Amino acid sequence: MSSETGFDPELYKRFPTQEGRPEGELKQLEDVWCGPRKPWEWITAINNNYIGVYYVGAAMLFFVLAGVLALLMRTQLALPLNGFLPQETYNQIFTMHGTVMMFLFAVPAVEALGVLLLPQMLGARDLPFPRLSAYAFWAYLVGGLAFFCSLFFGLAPNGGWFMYPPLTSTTYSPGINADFWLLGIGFIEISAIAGAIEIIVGVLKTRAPGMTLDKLPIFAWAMLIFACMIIIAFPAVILSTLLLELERALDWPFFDAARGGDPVLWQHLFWFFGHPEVYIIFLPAAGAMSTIIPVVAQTRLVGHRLVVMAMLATGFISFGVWAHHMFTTGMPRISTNYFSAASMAVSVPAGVQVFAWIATLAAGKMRFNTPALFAVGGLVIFVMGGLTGVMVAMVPFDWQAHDSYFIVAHLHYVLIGGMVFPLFAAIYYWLPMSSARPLSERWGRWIFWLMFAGHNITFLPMHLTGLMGMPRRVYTYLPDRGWELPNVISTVGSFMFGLAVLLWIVDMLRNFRPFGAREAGNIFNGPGLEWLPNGLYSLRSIPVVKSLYPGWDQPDLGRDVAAGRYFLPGAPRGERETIVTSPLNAEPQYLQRMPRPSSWHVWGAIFTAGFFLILTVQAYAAAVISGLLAVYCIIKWCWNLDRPMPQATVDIGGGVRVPTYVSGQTSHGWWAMVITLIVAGMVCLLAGFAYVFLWSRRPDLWIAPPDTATLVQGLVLLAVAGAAALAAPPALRLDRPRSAAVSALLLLVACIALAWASWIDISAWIQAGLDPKATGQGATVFALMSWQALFAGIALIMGPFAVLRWLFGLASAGRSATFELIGLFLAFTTVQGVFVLLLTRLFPGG
Amino acid sequence: MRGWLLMTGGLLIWAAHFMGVYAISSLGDVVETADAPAWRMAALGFSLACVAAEAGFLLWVARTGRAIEDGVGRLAVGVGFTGGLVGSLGVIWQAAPTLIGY
Repeated sequence: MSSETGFDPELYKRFPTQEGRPEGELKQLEDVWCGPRKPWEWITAINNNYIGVYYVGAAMLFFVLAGVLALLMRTQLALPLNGFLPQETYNQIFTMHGTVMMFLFAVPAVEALGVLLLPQMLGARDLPFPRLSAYAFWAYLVGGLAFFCSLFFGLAPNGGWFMYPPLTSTTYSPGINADFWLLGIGFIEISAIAGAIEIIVGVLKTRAPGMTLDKLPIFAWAMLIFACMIIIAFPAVILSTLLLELERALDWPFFDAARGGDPVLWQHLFWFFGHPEVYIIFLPAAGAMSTIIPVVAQTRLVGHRLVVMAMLATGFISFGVWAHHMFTTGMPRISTNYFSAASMAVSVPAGVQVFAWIATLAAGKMRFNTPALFAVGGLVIFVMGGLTGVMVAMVPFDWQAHDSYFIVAHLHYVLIGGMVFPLFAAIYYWLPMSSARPLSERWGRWIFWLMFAGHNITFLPMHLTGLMGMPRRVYTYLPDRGWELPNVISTVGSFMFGLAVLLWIVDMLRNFRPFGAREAGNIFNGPGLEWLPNGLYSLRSIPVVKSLYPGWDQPDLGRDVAAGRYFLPGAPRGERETIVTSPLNAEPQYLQRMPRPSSWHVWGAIFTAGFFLILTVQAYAAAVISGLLAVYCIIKWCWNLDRPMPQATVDIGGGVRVPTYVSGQTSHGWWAMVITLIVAGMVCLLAGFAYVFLWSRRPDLWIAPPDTATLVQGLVLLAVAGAAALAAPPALRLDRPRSAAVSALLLLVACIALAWASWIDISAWIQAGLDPKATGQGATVFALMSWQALFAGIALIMGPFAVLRWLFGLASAGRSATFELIGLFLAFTTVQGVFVLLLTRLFPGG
Repeated sequence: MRGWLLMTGGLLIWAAHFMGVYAISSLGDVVETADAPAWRMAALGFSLACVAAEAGFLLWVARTGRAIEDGVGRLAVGVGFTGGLVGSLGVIWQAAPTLIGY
């Protein structure tokens, strides 16, 4: 493949440069990237070195909290007819245990690992949207803590972590417990999506020059695929939580079979997210394993390309297995078998990775340090969980084991072996890099063996308890069923696991003490860029990468990087900057100006969390105020973006000059907007699926659509909106005296046309007699129209925003990124509007 | 774009096949029954088309691979070819229910 950007790779030969660096250059770099100096700056910090540590810390806090809930459950189940926990409390605790582990620990923990490690690993100063990472973190922390605290008031959700209706409908769950789950989780997933956008753009656009895709670290590959899966899968849970909350709050019957809804729709939507979620959690952990195992074996990963293919294949096939959670719902037998076949097929790429790890260990000389123990222990446990996974992929076996403790054992083997052990391996492996101190090896071995034994003693007997007939989610059981012994063994094992975690917490506290030496260095002889000497600015200079294992293959790299002999060795403009490179070949494209710490994203996160949480307690006025404040903070944040530098091009080292401002497809902002719109498009597509699905359940309840005249009016308005949105950015780029005014007004016209089209569509359906409370058709049509109206509403904020930027002189041909992104958003909203209009008017036809 | 297509093409065809056979059986379930012979044959026909598409994709990757020398290209071809093989096996494996009938 030829050069992507016209960049001449011969220029790389100028590095490492030989001339000396100016005096004071390193000091200036340190000053520009300095850490918090005042107490509140610990909160407004945005650098990944801080946000990443906060993020990992918060995820581990939720791991411990959910673990304590598990110990409470195991205490209750240790004996038959035990009265340690009342039934209702037990229901809340098992729901919160699953929910917190899956939503507040597992996904955020691996995302946090990405935020913490990727910049150093890729040779970037930071990820491209550090404020977005910080916003995602604060939203997650505030929302997560408030959600967890619902337990102390008896308001925690109690319908199981997958919240099936009709159990979670207002009929059977009349309190606000279920609302906490629906609004809280929907909101926290938005924060996960923000993190995924950051990771995708970061991996594709901020790699060190020369780090072509074949030299991309395997962990970064895993994070890239993980983030793409989040973009496709998480819209399903956002939509499902939205629909169930609409049913509970407004009585729109999406899941009420009596009025043309169907509870199975929830299962389709939830598991379209829920099963890929398992692989979403597993892939980054697998990426960590594929990084750590070659280091502990001191050899290269066997079958690197096959492992990349296996991760891609896992990403794809995992979207074809969602209905294996629904084998007992009465789906058509042939459909069931398609999902059964996919569920067996997904074990093939997972197996490829497992064999690659075993082959790597066999090819090298393994050192049994703590990361190695956790990696190998995780491998053993994951394989055992995978084998029972193939068993439950077979429909007849699943019918027997469904909803029994066998499934509890299976899922814990997969999740703990596939994610928790690799995460601990990662913590032990990378902590010397992050905190400059290793954890204790002696303690680490104790912790590993306690955890490994504790896990197996807890969950191995559960296979038997399940096969002996013990169902999941029961708060107690009768004696004399043969369940007492395996249950008491499981409880003993769970406390061993808990003791291991407690010892680990003590060791972590010792590690982060504010005194003592901090100079661990590369104690495991890791080959990645993250092991080069670094500071808060990441690497002193950004190297030219020539190998998949630069630390092993490029001698003197650390010395030359630390001496500033590569790209961007200082901060001569007194700004935080990083190099943006091309997605395939990592050729330098431009210099990105990075943001400085500020408080707007923190306030934005607090008010956004406040909006969702206050909505839960039905204080609507306060929720609206909180929402408006969140919008104000985000607008204030966006107002300061899109700032060109005085210089059009700059020397980034070795005489290589790159632009300081770009817009359009080259810019990182364009990529982020496109990914955001893919998320929105997925929500809309899945809502379309819900519409067709509910039609297939009760077509007899459906009424004819409104007259064709309103359809034509809507399409004409959308055509106007689309044309204006597409014409606005080129109008600005014409660079004539009135370009900015014309462009801003075109954007405003597009916004008004979109809002008008939405209004006409909603009015037409109301006049046609469609009632959102009456039937599944009414509920889904109004849901689709509301989604489109939400986008039209956002457009109505963006239009005046564009006009204001023009009035303040912030729009010009040389500063066009904001207008281009608004144009892109409006064009997408137009296409989405056409989809909604045509689907609801033409299918199934009048 | 070509590089990404090389790497993911075989798996994209698998995804299209999976969604296709699921959609065909769901439609069959609404109109008649999901495993009625006509709907099964429709799914089988679609599966054969997907197998042919996988074969075409593998041929394209093999031809492209001969002209490629750089590291990214070799990675794309390697990943694409093995992905195409996995995708082909996946399509054939998932077409089995259309033949068996349940």
